[in-house]
Amino acid sequence: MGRSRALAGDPSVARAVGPARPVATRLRRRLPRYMTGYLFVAPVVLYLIATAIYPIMTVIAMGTQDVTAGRWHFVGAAHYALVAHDPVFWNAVWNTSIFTAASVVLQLSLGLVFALLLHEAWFNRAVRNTMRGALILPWVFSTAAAALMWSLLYDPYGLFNYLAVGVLHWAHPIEFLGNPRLALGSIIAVNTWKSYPFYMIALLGALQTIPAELYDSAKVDGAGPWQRFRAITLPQLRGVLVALSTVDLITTFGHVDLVNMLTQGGPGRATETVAFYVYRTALLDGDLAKGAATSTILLVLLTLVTQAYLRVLARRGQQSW
Amino acid sequence: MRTAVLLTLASLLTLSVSPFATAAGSPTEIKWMEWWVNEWGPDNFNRLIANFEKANPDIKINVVDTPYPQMSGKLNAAAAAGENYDVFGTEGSWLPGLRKLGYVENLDPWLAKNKAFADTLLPTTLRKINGDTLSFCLYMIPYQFAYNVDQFAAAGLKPPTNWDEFIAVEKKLRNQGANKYGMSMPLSDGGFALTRYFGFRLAQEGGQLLDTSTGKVTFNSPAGVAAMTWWKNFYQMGLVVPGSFGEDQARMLEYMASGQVASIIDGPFIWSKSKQIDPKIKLAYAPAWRAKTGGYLWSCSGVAMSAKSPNKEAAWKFIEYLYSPATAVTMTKTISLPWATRAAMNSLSGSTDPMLRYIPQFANQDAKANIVLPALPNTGTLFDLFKTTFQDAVSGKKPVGQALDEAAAAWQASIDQSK
Repeated sequence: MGRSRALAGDPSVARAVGPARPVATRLRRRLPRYMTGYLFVAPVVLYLIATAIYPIMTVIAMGTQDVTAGRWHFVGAAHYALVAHDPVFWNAVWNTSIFTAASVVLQLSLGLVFALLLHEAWFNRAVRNTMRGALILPWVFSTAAAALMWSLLYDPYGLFNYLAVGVLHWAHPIEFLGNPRLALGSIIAVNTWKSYPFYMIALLGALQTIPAELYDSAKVDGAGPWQRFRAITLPQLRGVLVALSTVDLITTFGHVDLVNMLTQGGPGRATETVAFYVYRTALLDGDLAKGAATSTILLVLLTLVTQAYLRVLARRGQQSW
Repeated sequence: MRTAVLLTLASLLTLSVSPFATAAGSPTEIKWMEWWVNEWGPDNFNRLIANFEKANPDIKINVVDTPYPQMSGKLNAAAAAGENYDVFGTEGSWLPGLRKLGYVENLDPWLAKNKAFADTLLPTTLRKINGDTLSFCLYMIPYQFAYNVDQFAAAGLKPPTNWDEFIAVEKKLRNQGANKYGMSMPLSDGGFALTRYFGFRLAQEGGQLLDTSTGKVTFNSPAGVAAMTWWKNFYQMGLVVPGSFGEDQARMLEYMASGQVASIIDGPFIWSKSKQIDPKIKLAYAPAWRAKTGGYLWSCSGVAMSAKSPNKEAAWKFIEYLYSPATAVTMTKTISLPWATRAAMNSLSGSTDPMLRYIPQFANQDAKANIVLPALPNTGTLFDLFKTTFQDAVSGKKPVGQALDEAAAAWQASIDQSK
């Protein structure tokens, strides 16, 4: 105690330490102004490097290697060439395209329809709130629970087939997941049912930000419901729709859970998506390098598709993203 | 001071005498990843572990029970990430990929150290790849017609003793008015279609999946065409629950346990699995069948040791315990699974267990015609190819010969590529 007091009273010590200033102020004086900005974004950049850039670079590097007895060695583009020449992969790309396009269109359409309905003034607020809760319900289900529930509904002894065979007296049950022509559509239906509430909520929020005066003016000008929807609602929702559809496109393109749980890519290869192809190659075959190469191709494809989608929207004179 | 040093040295010496002692004196922990807790029943499983730990207080077994569909993925991820599971359950088909990643211990040197133990195993117990023993089959699985005893009794049916009677029984069980089918035939999994249906009939036609001496794929032989044609004809009779192409083993199990169907073709473990849904269900195997031969297809699930294990001595001790005559006989009796040891197989003679009593007959009625499912590389891809082949053939989308030729060529290319 006595020693620190003596030091504090020592003028040489006080000179060496200098006047007490906040650390931020001192840093601001020593660092160029632009560096302060970099420091602010540094945590996010480091987080992205650790969670996105490093894993992506690892996967890309892994795709150029092979492993023998636990030792990795460079093989260049061999895995990429193998995947690019595999018709099963291109079949998966085709299925993924159909699955993604149909899911995005149906999820957004259904989400928009329900959002519009819930946005309207109802005869009873309690009923509307109950409906809102009921419509959000599918989103609460985990993917595994949704897959299990729908697999039971689709079952030859399930509800749908009970109605078809037991009530309507059809000769045979419908093979929702066993018929190559129906299986992909059946999975798209489950995916749509599971995901539309998210888009419904987002669009409902966006609808509530549209000024009511716009609709009032349009009504005064004699615009009907359809004209008001086309001239006011859709343009006002454009930004949100572009953002949502892009997010939906990206998440659906890499989807694997429902396919794995409902059909495992079958019947035949009718529902095999690229993500499932990666899962099978990397985790079932244990060929991590080929799986990594396929993942990289999937990443490139997804980037190209997203870019093309956003450019098309921008070119239509709507909104650049 | 001197006394203290001597005491410390003596304590350290005592600890180091025990091969499994750790610095803190706590037991050595062995991580065992497997998928059998539910299959064997939690009580049986816990008893198995408790007995080992009681006999070996210096080793503790840390069980990592993993759902079967996730096992292969988790093992590959562990191998790539350097995560250790000292002992793990494995199918033969997972071994080539794991060996590539340097994860599987060669068990031959361990066997050489304990010849008495090696002699207790059957020749088919050892899973070899390129001459190295990489795992031991834990139990041998034949695939045969299994039926619900009570439902058959109620319908006045006797278990079929051959393929023709099998068709006759399925026809009797089909009730169009009640939307009732006798059998469920899940075909969404290529491995299932290969082992339970095609492979079983292939063995009885005198064929083989591979020529083990040359490594050539041979399932597109005339015997293979005959086997596939038989299944095509059967499938097109409409005797199995619709939706086979999208049906998996879990769904088949639900049909069986809930009484929706009265028969299936599967391994002996199906009874213990069904009992988890309906504890009162009684299943039994039909007596051995014979077509051109009396061969059966056999596969096995087994255990392997991690090459990265820091506790190989303790892991080996646990493996020895799993295959010991006492464990093998007890487990064979309690869970109705034929352990892959001589003691277990000998214990089956005179067995009254409805799922075990015919197994010696399956094994011995035409031993040369038996097929043992080989450890294949790229199993996911090969089984997936076979799934498409089987579905294309039985649905008539492709002629049987063409479908099998294409599959054989694709299998050969994939196997050759993995070399």
